[in-house]
Amino acid sequence: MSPPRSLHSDLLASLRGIASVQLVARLQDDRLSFPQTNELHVFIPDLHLITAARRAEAGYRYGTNYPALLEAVVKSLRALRLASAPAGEVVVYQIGDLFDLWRQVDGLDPNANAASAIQNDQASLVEALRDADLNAQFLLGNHDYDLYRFPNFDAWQRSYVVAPSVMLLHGDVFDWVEQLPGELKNLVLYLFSASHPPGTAELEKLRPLNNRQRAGRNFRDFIQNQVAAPTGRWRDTGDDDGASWNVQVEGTAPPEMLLYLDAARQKCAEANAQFASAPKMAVIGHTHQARIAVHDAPDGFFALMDCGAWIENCRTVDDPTPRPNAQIAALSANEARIYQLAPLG
Amino acid sequence: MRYPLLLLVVGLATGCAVRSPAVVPMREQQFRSHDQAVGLPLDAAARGEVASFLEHGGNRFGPNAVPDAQAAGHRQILDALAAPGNLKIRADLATSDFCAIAAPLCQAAPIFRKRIAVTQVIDARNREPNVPDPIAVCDEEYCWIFRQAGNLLTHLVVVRSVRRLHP
Repeated sequence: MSPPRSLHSDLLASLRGIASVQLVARLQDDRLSFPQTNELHVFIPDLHLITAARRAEAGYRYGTNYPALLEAVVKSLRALRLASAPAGEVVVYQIGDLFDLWRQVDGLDPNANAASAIQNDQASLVEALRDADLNAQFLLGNHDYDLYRFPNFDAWQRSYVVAPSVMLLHGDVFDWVEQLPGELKNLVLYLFSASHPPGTAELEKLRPLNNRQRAGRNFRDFIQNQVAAPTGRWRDTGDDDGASWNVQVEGTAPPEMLLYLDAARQKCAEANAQFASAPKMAVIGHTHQARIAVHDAPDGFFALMDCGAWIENCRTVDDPTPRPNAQIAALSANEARIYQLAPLG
Repeated sequence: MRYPLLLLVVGLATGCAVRSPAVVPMREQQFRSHDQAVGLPLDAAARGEVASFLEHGGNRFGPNAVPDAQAAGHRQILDALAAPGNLKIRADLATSDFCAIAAPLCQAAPIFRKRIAVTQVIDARNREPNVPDPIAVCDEEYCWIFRQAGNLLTHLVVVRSVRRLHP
């Protein structure tokens, strides 16, 4: 018997029409407090686009994976969004590091020339992402943080709250938030607030901290992972029984699979105390390591979904062979999923 | 205090580093040459419309001709934009130097030399920014806003610069 139709199954069917699809992880849990069956939130993680000329000039040994497939995926999401309305709402997010300004230019870029050059060089993909019918929401990552200063990008955000219980942010803040003095830690809390989102002034204050992470690095061989990132055990989508799969539970999972789970849980708890928000899940990118990690203990439940990337490589427990990261994630009806995609054939 | 240097850096950065990028706004109807950008290379009709706009001081609905202080330079631009070979660009360059992006056009129309290319073009009629970015270049009185595709300039609208107050 085929599973009941849902927005998750519609998305999967759409993806399977254009790609080979494997299930990286699934979390099915009512404690996510996200029961909406008529909403599907789709997350496209880090792409790190640069121009072809820059890649050759700077000698970067890696680039965005499967760009043609990526564009097909974006166009399929637009079709899914239109087909689902008005009964269902599909919301698509690109969760930061769409452009890699750090690798595109060596120094400052006061006039958005780097962003324009990348946009022009990757026009068909960016056009698909910025299609008005798709109405994608864009987050700023650390590699494209400076876009908030430019008029054509100033609608981009540093974080979103997907009401009522999900926090969406790029995730780079966890690299450095614990090293900050108290004043700036409080500023960072704005990222975790629906009622007090960071404005341009706050983003400007945090900008030097972001740029410190860039200092002294050339990114020629890698950005995040010098070796393929572990992602646990995948599953063919045809064998799917609908149960949770490959969820990394604190206390039993290896530490590398729990990266930022605790930091995200703590920051969300602090934001909860300060702004009366109640996130049960944080959705991030940034680490280029697709996984779902869970804190499930007497002091509460909290989940972290790291949506992966479209750059660098990953591996599974079953097969250490590096494979190009090409993941998207989705959330609906108290169920979060991450898929790995590859070209058909 | 444990982090005085860091706070000093943050303070200096917030005080000194804020720079607004150059922006070219799409003007209201009377101060733009066309409502829809005209195709390039310019044909005789489109050239005539742009020329008329310039001859009326950048006011499409203006009844009177106004002397154009840059008339010779503008004629060179219109001549240049009629030749397909002048429309080739390097859109993938991360530079503000218009002539680095549009070298053949600059060669044929020296009025553009040492001008800044602006890609932050704000058109309030659009639901989202154009992709690829338009490339705008301003002379003393007008901004020339080009649409582009495949490393070619494809369409043009000329607007009167917001800096120009008279007539």
